[in-house]
Amino acid sequence: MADTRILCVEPDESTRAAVIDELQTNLAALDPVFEARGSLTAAETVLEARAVDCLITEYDLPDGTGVELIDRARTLSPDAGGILFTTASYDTIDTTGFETTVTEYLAKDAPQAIERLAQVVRTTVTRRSQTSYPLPRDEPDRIAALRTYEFDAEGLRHSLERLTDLAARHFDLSGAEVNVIEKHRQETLSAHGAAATRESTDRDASICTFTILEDDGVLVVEDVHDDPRFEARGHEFEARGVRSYLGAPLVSSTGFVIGTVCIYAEEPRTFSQADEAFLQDVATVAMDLIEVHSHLAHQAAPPTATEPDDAGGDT
Amino acid sequence: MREATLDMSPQRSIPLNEIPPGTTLFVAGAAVDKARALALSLLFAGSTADDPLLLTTIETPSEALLTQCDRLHSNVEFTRVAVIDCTDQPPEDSRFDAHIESLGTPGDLTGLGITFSIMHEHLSEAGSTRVLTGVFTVSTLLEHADLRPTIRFLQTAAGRLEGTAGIGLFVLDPSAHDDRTVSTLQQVCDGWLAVREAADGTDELRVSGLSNQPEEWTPFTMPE
Repeated sequence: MADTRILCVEPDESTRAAVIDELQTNLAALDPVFEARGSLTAAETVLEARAVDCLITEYDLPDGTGVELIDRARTLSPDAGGILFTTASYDTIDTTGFETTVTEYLAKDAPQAIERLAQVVRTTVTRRSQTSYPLPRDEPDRIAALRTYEFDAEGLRHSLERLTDLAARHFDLSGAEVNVIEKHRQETLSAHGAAATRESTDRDASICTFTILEDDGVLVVEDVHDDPRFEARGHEFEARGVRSYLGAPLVSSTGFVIGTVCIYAEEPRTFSQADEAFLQDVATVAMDLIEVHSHLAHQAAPPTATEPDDAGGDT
Repeated sequence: MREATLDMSPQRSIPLNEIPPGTTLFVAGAAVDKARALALSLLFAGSTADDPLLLTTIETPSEALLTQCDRLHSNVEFTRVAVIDCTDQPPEDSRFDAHIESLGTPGDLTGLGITFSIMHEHLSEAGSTRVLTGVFTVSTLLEHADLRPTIRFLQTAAGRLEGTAGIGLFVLDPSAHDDRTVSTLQQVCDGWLAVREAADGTDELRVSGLSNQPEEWTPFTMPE
């Protein structure tokens, strides 16, 4: 599965073909997969089918605007970088209603426009510079580390489910999870409570994606409605049964934070230092289980290839 | 491409070593006037006479910001300076030769980002020339926009600067925000330059996140 997907939306067919042809040459090192469409509606069909890393679009589309399209893309691929590659000048671009979309911009008729577009696409994709959350400084190594584990190893998820059940019972809370934080998504390995039927969440909509930024400790959210990182989507979290949250990192034997153990409640609440220490112990045990089960799986069947990227998976 | 390095060696009153190209740095202080003045000093004193500067102002009207530049540094060639003015006091007749683009609203981060890209692209001559940039201030930006879209805007700008080997200084008043906002923002840039006034009135700075910079509080003198 390709690691880099780029969607180019340009009404003029010959321009569209020329842009992709040039980008294929300039971005060969990324080995990207391109898709091309001529309208907002056609582009949405692509976005609904699979996630993209970068969306390049003309501003004036037959059925809408490029800003509108980038905004819609973010509901389907929240990490997608947006680049307006356009003949439209700033004073003709209407951002009303899309004030928080945020996009890159390059004028199509500028000198060396296509070379600059390639540079901006490269930065946008490799640096993932348009996410709405900070990335850990060791993100590429962290992703590489988590892909060395066999999360589908026999018995692992069952063991982790017992652990999340125990954690929920200990805290007398409605939810507990063990999650790994992939490139674009949070994958749930085990869950107690409402999340038991959920397999993954956009990283953009995950509290755990902030837990992995904590240097040594845990992340405490006493009330999502009173936390600047989450309050804008507080009702979304609440609908998932998450009003308060405590998360601890899963730290690999090589020192990378590959995921979290978290507990949460449907009401605002505080957590004591003893709660934090207990959850950190649970996280240590969860990581031990992942290490042991992966080791046994590797012994039974040595890994032969890199795990596929999560981009383009189940979004 | 000529890469942007902030070389403070000629400005011995500011005890910083070279800041490498592609770096973005918060310049943070509860005394935000000092943080702003230090960021301006770094941009002007640390650059060469040919380096374009792109200043985004959300708080201080562009004319006042340029006046401060003029006061801090004699012989500033303002034709190399561009300002994105998001304040509600758009300039009429500026006495400076800087290129000023007035947006009038800081809440439109999409419009601000597009304008930043357009002006950066122009100043960098399609990415071939280094551009030094400053945002004054992220704290004011956060008065008009939520944290998450602000992070997206800052990271997009930082990505552009990294991709063109520029330098970005983002001024912040940490005392205006809670610890969760500050600790999250600290992850967005490469480094954090803290500024404070010590009990004896001395200005002090320290840097985290960048190597070869003072990690302990170190006195400095703001250029007159």
